[in-house]
Amino acid sequence: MPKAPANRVILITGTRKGIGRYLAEYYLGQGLQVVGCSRTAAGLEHPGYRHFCLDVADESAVKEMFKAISQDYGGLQVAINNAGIGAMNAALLTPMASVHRVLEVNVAGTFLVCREAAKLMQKHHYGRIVNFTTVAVPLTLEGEAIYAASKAGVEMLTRILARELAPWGITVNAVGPAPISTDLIRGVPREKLQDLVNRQAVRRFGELRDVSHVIDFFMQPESDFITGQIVYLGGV
Amino acid sequence: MPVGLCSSLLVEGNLIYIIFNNTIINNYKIKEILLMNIDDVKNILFEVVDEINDESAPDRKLAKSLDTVLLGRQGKLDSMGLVRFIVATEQKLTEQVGVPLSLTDEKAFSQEHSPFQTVGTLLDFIIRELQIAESSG
Repeated sequence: MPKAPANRVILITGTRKGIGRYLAEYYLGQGLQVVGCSRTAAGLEHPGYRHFCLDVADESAVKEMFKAISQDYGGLQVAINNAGIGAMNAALLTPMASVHRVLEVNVAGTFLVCREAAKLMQKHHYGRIVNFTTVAVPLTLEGEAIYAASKAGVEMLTRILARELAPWGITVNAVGPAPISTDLIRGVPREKLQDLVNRQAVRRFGELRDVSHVIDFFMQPESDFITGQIVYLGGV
Repeated sequence: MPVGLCSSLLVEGNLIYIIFNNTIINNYKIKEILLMNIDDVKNILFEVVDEINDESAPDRKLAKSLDTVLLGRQGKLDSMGLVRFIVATEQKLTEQVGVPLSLTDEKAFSQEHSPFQTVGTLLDFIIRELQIAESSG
């Protein structure tokens, strides 16, 4: 079996803030070339960082980004599908525009980036794709019907893509963070978040380093036998 | 020269210039492949054959021929091999034409005879796709 290449170039979607921004800075700190994207500028200046302003559900824009990655970096070893939007609302009050947008970004956007990343990785018979799900899926949280449904979709994408892409040495896994203090849950009442934490085996809020720890594990070249797995944080 | 007259002239001049340039450049790029070098597309497909063969077992290697079967039991590619062939072809075409191309839209899958039957049918499909790109460009 050919030796797996070292991880050199990593794509992280949704790098403007929150977990994505943290991951971009974290992997820059490890000396990786980081490509990031978000709908607006990231404001992240670093010689190893390149940003694309795009919507992950915009097929032509995403394809252009991958064309640039192929031309300018000669390949891609890791793709982290962090970009996503939340929609916490009672089902009976959820507008269809919100339903469509959440599915478009979280499911279609994740699929699109997985597809294009795999095309690049396929060439070199190596790749690590990490998707983002949520503990709202196994906890079947009220008020998160569409968000959790979209992430259940991401989990199924993860499992099926893991099978389809395995012949090319590409693994596909997902991490489901417990509540972490980011903009995504800013509007959720504190007591609701505490109830959620109380349902975890380890009753504390998640930290950003908890997320990067799982991603580090999935990314390792030695993790070539680990694919199609969903890891929830906090013991959910 | 009065500002108003200058603007008007400039706008007209720019408009003609831009339209003229875009049309010529776009058509030139596509005609270069279509008319001057249909063989270029064939060569791209044969390069893909080489690439796939490099990754294949000796008894699964493809012949460099337009008659080489890509799809079905008579062919030497399994389903994942066909996926690899199509993706590699897309990537090489995209590198040549300069814009991302997709060979797997609904049209490709809805045709009565699949364009992925043989290297030759795929060549015909690509040429047709590029002609459409030219006429709509």
